[in-house]
Amino acid sequence: MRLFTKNKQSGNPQPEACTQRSAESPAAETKLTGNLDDDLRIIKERTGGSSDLIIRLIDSMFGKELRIAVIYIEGLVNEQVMNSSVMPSLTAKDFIDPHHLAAPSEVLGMIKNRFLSISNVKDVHSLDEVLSAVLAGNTAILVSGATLGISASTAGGEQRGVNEPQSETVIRGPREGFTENLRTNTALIRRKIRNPDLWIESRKIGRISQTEVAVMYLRGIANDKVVQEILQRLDRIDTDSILESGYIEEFIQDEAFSPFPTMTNTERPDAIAGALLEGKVAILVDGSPFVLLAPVTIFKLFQSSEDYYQKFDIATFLRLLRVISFVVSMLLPSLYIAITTFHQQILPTTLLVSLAAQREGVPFPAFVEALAMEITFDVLREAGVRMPRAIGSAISIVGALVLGQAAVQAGLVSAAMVIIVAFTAIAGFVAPSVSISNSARILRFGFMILAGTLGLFGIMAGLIALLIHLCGLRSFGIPYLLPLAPFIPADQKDAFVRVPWWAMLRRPTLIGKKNPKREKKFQKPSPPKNKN
Amino acid sequence: MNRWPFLILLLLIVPLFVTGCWDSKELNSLSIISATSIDRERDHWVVTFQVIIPQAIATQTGGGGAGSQSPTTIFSTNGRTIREAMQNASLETSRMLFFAHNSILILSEKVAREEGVGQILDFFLRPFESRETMSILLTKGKASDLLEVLIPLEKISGNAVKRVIDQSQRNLSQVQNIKLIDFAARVADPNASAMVPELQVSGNLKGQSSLDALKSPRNEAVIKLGELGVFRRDKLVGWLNGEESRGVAWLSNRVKNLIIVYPCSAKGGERDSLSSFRVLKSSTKLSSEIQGGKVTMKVQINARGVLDETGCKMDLSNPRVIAEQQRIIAKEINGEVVSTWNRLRTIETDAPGFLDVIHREHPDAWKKLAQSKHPLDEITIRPQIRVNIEHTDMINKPYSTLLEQNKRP
Repeated sequence: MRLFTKNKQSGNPQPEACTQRSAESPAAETKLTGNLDDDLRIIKERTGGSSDLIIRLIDSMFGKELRIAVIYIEGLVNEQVMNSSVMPSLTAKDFIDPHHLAAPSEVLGMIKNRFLSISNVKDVHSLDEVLSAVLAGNTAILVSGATLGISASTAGGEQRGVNEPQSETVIRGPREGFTENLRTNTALIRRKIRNPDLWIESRKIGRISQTEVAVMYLRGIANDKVVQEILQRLDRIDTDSILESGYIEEFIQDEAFSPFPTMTNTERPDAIAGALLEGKVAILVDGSPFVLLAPVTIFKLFQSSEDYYQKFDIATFLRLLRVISFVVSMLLPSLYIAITTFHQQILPTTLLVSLAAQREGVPFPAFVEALAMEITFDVLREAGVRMPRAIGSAISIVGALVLGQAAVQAGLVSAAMVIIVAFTAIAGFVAPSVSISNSARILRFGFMILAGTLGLFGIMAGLIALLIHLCGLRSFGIPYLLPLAPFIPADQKDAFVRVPWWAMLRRPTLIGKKNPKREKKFQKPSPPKNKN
Repeated sequence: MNRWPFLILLLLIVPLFVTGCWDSKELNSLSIISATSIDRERDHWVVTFQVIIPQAIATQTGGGGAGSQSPTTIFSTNGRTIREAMQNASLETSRMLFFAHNSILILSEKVAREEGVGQILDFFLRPFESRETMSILLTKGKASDLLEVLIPLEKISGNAVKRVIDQSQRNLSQVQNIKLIDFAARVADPNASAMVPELQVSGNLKGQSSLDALKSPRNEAVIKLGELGVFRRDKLVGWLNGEESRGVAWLSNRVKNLIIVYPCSAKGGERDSLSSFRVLKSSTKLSSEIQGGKVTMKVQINARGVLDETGCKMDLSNPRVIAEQQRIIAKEINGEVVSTWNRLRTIETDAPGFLDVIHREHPDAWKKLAQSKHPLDEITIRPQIRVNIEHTDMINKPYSTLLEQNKRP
């Protein structure tokens, strides 16, 4: 662990071979020279003459005295905006007074203030700024002789539309999901919370990739210390690229070596909006539809956003079901091993006889059998995720028939074990968050080894160690087992159970304590009082 | 920071102290024993086990093959001590004997009469894997014979016998399921004596111990519960027949569900006409009285129930008739109680625990009695029986009265 922290801290000053030097070379500091040919030559050099960099030169009747360069990257800009807004304004007839050669800065001012029909326009002073603007999908406009240019916001190009999220489907609730575009994502959240207090702090992380990362929170509800802590941790990241929010998660999470996630992620804007209103902080990463959420407690991982849209009674039932399923998916194979190899006396006789009959002729000990079957299932699962869609049916046939049915008939595996593994697997999919089902998936093997060596005692010892670990875990300063340990009676309303909305009076105590009041009291619907 | 190495160390050390139900054994390396019997041959203990053959019972795996294999197998071993006999079992079995699912223990009369059950109880209470809930049974013949009988409908005959006991205890209060732990407690109690039901085979034993027997609808032999063996200290001293075991049930307040068959009138006039009274709720209160040095046990029995069946001709809607019936039933119960008491006095066992009651209520009298050679002879009983017929089920008049009416026209 120390090894990692050392790297993180000392990463900055050390020259690293993997990062590109050219982007940060002294040339980056160059101001625009004012000599358009030189500037354009440097830009071409810096981009290696890449074919998608388009430089369009517009001549005027003054020849070399007054030329305008439009620089953009094909594919990153919205072609329609380019053709309908940028280019017409620069080629307009009355744009340049033929009788009077205006100063370059004057021309730029005219373009910016009078002609360019683009709303978001900025001045750029250095070549570096020009490049980063162009790489972000903007269009740079340079005028010969001027030591400053214009960057017009023309970002666009091909993007995936807002679709229903693949990883978190709901029966009732909004069907929209985040996309790979950061701005679309922030807009999706803003559409749900129309409040100026919804603040966004942006960072560019990744020396090469220059990925935009946005931290979103509700001012006045989110804990300022948590926001500051998240921003600080983000600022500490010094890496070449951030391609997915998973990079950020591993860099800033509290406990690097815990099977439990101390941050969660979601594809659903409504889940993020709900969390922001509880005082949590969202971290959006450009290029990833998975938005990070912190701080998180273990109960949050058992909650689906649908819980808040369905009636509270079924929501409560489902939450309990998910907790039970989590325990089942973590412990069922190990309990089976422990009971059938150590504690046969605790089974009813008929069940014992039935299990014994199934194990008759099985060549391996129960532990090996369970381990093999669990690994087989994980192989099947991984294959199901990776393989091309078209072969999907083949894997289910091979998995279900060959490995299940045939293995039992051949006497390699007992039927009970197949049932156990199958139920364990299905219970693992109940968890609404993939990260928590993955922790059960890993811990399952640990518990199986404990059960195979020490029986129920091993399982108990493992559970105690796990509990100790969970009690010590913090997510950005918030205890992971909140509201169970420390026990907060008021917060039980949204842990195992979900009380009706009219009873959800306060926000979670530690997370949203700045502004705890959530709604007016006494809103329980009741029949109107008949005064006649 | 350095917690984890410590925790892992702790995890490794803790199991050293938590020994007990420990040691892994695969299911297919176990011989699951469902019943055990103990006989005595000269100076050897003969221990017989009924081992379940799982494949023969759970036929769904492998598909078919039902009935081709006997569901249980039996083998006997002998030794100078019971443990030695068990040790010798490993000379002939391929698998480890697993006792946790043993549901019945059958002792032969010979063992119980001559050797006493002291050593047997010691042996079964000692190891952690034996169950204190196993039922104790006696048999008059060779105990191991009973393990051979196949019971129709049931695959594991050991469990089946346990269910027979449970079931008949519920429906017939004269039968008592006595668990190992209760038996040990009763044997050790100076003021009480243990009673153990007898298991017997009626019919042709040879015929019923082969699988072919299950192929015919009528069984060659059946296992059934019979008399009640009575112990004094750890030795069997006598048997109580059906009527007497009911009497014991009355005396020891164990009646929950019992049928009393009684004649139509106290004189016993009309032949072959009997009625049944089903006891639904009953309580027995014992209290002692000392009068001039003589000890009298007052036995107050209060039985409530239903008239379940009658062959008599009478008007059951008349309260006087009902009162008359109640008197006859009370007399019937009284007869059972008195004859049981006389029998208990002759075999000198205090099955209902009279001495216990006297000890509690009149310690001085008990001290005197305890020194007497035959303390039970000095006790007389005075039963006071109240019977209450609560209702007569769905019909009031006896059906036979309807037949009378039809004859008239």
